[in-house]
Amino acid sequence: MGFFARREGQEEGRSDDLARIEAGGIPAGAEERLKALGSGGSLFTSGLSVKEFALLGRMGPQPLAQVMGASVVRTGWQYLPALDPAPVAMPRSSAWGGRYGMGPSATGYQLSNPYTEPSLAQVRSYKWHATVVCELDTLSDAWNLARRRAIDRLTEEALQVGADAVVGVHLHRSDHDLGSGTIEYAVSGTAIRVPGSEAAQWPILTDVSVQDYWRLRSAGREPVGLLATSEVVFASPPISTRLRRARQLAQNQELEELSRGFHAARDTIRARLLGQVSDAHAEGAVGVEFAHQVHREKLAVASSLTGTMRRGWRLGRLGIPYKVSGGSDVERRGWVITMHAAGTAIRTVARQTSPQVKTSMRMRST
Amino acid sequence: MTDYNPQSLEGIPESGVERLEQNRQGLYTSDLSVNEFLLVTEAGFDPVGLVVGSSIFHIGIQVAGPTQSRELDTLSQAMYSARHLAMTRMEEEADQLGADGIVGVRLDIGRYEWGPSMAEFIAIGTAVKHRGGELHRAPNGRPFQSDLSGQEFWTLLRTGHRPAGMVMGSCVFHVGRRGPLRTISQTGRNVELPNYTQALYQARELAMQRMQTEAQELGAAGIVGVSLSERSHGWGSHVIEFFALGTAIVSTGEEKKIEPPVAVLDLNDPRS
Repeated sequence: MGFFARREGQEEGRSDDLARIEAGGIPAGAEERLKALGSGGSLFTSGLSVKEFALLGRMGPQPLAQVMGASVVRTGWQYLPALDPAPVAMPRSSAWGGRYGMGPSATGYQLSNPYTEPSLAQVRSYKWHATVVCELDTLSDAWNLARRRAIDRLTEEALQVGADAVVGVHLHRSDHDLGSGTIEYAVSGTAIRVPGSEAAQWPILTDVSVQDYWRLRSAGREPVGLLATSEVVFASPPISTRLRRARQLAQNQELEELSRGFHAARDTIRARLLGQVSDAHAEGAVGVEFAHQVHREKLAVASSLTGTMRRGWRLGRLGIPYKVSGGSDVERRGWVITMHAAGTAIRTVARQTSPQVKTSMRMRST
Repeated sequence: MTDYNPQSLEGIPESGVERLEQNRQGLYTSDLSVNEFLLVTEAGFDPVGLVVGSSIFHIGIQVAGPTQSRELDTLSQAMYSARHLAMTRMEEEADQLGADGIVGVRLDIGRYEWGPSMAEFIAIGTAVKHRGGELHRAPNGRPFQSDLSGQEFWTLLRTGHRPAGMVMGSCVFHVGRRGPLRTISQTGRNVELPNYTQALYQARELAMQRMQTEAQELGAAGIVGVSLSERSHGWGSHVIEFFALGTAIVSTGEEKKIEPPVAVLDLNDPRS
């Protein structure tokens, strides 16, 4: 097996590749291989099934290469939104004002002190009576970052191979156990080129199969691009609700916060997808698929302390980490709903009648 | 791998030789479904027998430093050689039957309780032979292998291509952990982890590259149906096997015979 011997150059290439990855690019080896595939060399690779390959051959475009992209992201700390600081009125001119460094105000009184923690009554009411349904922005951003990086790399590979489009893009969230809070997004698809066409400036990505691509084309539509987004929502019932549910265990009851959480997540995703459709100058989206997972989590509320005194780990002067804990440690138990959606934006190229549909009935007995 | 000897019966037990002898007299076994059987026959091929190859492999041990991202070549080699042995044995059986090739190949890995560091690699398929005596073997003269079903085989022949062989690439990779200082300095924010990304990327790339090299050696025109799988065969969380498997195809030089597709609405309900 000759190709196991090609190992000597690997270590030197690694640091170079690492720099390319950090810049959001693809490794040099991949670039070389794809350029060779795209230059009309001896061979193509594809993730197409035989039926897709046959149909593509009938339509005209040629498969060039299987392209992919991946990104591993470590999520940051996620806190629930901070409670409002307790409304404390105090005279500006007193020694208090001077100590806390407050600016002048028209009335001479500062109504709310940015350095005040929420009062105990506020914390109690938050714990016992407030239903929390909110977006977890750090986690949403992490998923969106990972997916965007992976898709960027896929696009980069498609550009290297000189493709017009990438069909059958498969988004795939792998769960390698690489450490807590690590998420991985991987995408793959088959780059194709229409013979005779000039190389597209930007390859069109679509997650439809070649069969669907054919159906769209014969209906006078064409895919414009891939739509995808992720959203993470936290839903948590207050203690009073939890106690009530425990008392009424035998009864059917709706878990309102979960219903609301799912609704909020779907709503946000739908709005974002609509935004992406209009950004892509498309008419609509087809084949949008939702996927979600739910797990239980305990999350802390961000401290209302501002600036450098935020809760969390800090580095001391000597580089030794220490922990700053806010005055009011409030934690909520609840469900984290992670929802992903992906689809394809389409537009009309030629207004024509839908293809003629024949009906058939199989005579099999099963 | 030594040079291939078509007369070699190495690795095939005596009873297997007997069974193949029976097959050669006209009696055949196959794991094709009825639909597959009809289409393979329609394409001008006859099944000649079920062929099996198997290899039980002891997989060696290899460790990498905890923060080191690199290929574990001993393990890669093991996964590779074991599959190759199983596939070559299956091919030898097909060769004994005088078959042109094997369709519907399934590659499985079995792990058993009696041997935690052992794995059985099994390849099973149905050997087929062209009725008209036309030789359809791979360019190197060996029977072709393909994981295509009967339906796919028929469709592929219609596109003016035929399978040349199954090609694969395997890479067992150790994804290095991050050093503690780096972990602390990056904590709290969303960050892409370039070393993990690069490691996974490199591993996939190696697997794809090896598959491509195999196809080039076969003189193939292309590879269809590539499936990329990532599995950890009980090596711990940071050691992952990337395995790419596809079917290499060559052109037959014949014209394409695919009719324009017609949209059909099936009036059967899924359950009726």
